[in-house]
Amino acid sequence: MSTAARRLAQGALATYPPSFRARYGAEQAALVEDLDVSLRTVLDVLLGSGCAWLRPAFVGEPTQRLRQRRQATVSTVWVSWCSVFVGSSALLRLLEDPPPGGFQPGRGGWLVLHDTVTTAVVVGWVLVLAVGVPLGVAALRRGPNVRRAVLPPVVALVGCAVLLVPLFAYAQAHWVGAGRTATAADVPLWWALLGVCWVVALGATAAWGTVGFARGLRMATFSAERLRVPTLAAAALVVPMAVVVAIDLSVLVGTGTSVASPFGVAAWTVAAVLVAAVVVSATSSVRAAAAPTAAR
Amino acid sequence: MARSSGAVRWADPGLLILGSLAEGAKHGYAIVGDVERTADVTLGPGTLYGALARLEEHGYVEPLPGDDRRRPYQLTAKGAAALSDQLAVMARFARTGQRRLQARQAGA
Repeated sequence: MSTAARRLAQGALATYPPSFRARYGAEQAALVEDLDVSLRTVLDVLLGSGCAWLRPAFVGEPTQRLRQRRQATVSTVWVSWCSVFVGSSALLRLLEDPPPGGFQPGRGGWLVLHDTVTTAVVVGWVLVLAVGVPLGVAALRRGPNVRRAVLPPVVALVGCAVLLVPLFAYAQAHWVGAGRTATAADVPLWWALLGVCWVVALGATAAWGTVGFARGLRMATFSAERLRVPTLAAAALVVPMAVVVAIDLSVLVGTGTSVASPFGVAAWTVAAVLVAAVVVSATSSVRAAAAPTAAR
Repeated sequence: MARSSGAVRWADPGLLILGSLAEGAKHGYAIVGDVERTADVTLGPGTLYGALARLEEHGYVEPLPGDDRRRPYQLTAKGAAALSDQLAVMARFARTGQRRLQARQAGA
């Protein structure tokens, strides 16, 4: 048990935030080597990791601490935004397809909610692109390590877009263009397989890009001043994020989705993760805004 | 997760670490061993370094030059003052508790 527990604990150390690992990782690893490790130790490491993500500690000179805090806020809000975008899209899609009893997609209150989510998502992405693209371009100039972290997910995203072309063209030619819904007979095996591959590739690319861009930001080591506007934008991004998640919750309640079914458990679990993402982002943004003025 | 024996807990990891460092600079493993001996509390790696990070952030402890894997920490003047304040409160609480227990035993 001890050897297995030690390996688990060593693996759990990798779940700490990068800034924490950079500062305390080697010491923690040495302590795990020295101690008698049990499953309780593993749990302790995992709980410590959760606390470090929720309430990171920054050490060093005041300017350095402010830089680290702003960088952590931008990274946290970026990862949260991606999680909310993907999680909420999947959740609402599953709830609408098929629509629950009493709800008619495209009409009434459902339409208002749908349009509000769409508006919030568009506003959010405009904000992300307006601030993120200049920051990303500046990051790419910071060296090959940053480029290795940022460029491959971008290339993969372009690949996903290219893969979508034959799928879309075939659908357009056979049922979308005719204005009807596809039946099983319309969909050839290659299209279905390629479609599944595309969804998997897009999900993997999204995860890769989410982590890769955050890594790139960390490696670029921008100054606190350079991160001031992105930090403000990150705080603003919490608003559309909160709107999207609030609507997700209202739809879950409105459709009577209960935890009695496996789908309900999955849906509420996703919703809980999204709520946590908003809370963590809001907390991180407030802390960055309240960082000591002397450090500025 | 600070693990102490008994159902009634008093152990704040930060306070235990400050108390341990009051004796002199120590690295992580030495702090865990010292706290276990003196307070009967086992600090796990997550709890220890979470508390150390917080203490360092507040300027209560500071790292000393040394091996990256076994870096020693020492108490700062600010940390010593914070420890002294906390111990004074705890001493007052302990004295009051002892006095009340003695009164209770005398009355029984």
